[in-house]
Amino acid sequence: MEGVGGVEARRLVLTLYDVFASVYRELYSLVESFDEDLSRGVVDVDEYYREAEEVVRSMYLDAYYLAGRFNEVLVRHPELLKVLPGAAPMQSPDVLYKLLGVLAGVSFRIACGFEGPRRGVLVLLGYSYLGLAWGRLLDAVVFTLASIALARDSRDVAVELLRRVDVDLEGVINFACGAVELAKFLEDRGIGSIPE
Amino acid sequence: MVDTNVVLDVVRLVLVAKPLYEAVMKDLKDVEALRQVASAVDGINRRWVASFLFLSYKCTRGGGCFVVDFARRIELPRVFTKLLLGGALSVGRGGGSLLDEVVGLAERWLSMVGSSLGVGMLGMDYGDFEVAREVVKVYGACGSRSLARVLDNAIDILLVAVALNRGYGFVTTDRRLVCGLYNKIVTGVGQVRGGDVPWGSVLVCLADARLGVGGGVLSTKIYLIHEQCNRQCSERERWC
Repeated sequence: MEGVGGVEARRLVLTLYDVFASVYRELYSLVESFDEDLSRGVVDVDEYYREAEEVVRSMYLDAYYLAGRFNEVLVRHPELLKVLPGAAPMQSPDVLYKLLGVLAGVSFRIACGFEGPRRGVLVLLGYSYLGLAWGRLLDAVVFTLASIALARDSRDVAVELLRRVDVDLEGVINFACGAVELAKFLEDRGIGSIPE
Repeated sequence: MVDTNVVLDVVRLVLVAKPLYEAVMKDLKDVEALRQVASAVDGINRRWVASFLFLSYKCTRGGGCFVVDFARRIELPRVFTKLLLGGALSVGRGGGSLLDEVVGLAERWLSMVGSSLGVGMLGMDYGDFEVAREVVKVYGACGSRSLARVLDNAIDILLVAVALNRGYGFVTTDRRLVCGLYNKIVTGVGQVRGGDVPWGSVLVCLADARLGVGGGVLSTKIYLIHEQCNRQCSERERWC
């Protein structure tokens, strides 16, 4: 097990990205062109929202299929399995949802250690994981685009995009960081989990 | 109006991420740390994700979310007592009553819930108790066994009564409560579809709650966040 840890965890995150990007090529193209338009300062929010709706219509979040693709990658990189639960993780799509959920939690924790725009970028990324885990694909795509917009200093674009899915940018940032504060309050007293 | 367990789910999702967060940030290398990461991923519950998103959508933009003040003195101290007895929480030996310490901790945490998540506190009044008494009478008419089952869940009945009395939607993860009240108070538990409300999901169900009081009818909506929220309530689960 020597040498296994954060590096593997980071690679696991990237692997998950690769799987999504290869399965959902249209989504990947949408994100690419959005990023290019942002850098040129010519984003039409209405158009990108419509395109996001189009992409989502063609997306079907087939957890079994995704788990299968994920499994193929893990066969090539078995060292990543050490970061996942021990018992045959890839036989169940459940692990995919769990992974997305825990990655959201990690993003929120990292995000809330920052001030300024970087906090928002990572909080929105965390929400896009949650959107995927919950099967709210349009929201997940919009959160991803909004996160990229914030990273490119285009706050107004992020706010406009989020408004389309009835989300308030400041509201979700404060909520996620509020949740992190509450968790830290408990952790400072030695509490690492809350029984059901 | 929010059941405290929904708020606890939000915090559970962040707590469970700590081992992976530490692995990523500190590049941990020891076997025990990795075991904890694996167990953290395994421990995630999809209901926590649903609760987190539900409250994110509903309680931001000044959505007016709140918990009932019974949470401060009864529900949360119960959770903190579990943590204490489970060995997760330690309290000092010196002076003061143990109960005061547990209640104080619950109060401090709940006050943070208000400032950090924007979830306020609602005081109960006598009218709420009167409605709760009406609920109990409905079940008393079903026989002593039904009455006993309702009284065993007295605090939860109070919460439903507050929601009914004030017409506030009630968000809960307690399928046992919703199914217990099925047929007499609660009807039509069904999955919320996107378009109906923005947080539609397979894990969120919507039900109607109604109670006849003094010639009138009190009614409200109940949102149930649960992995099997759409499964029909069985006869055994119903309290009447």
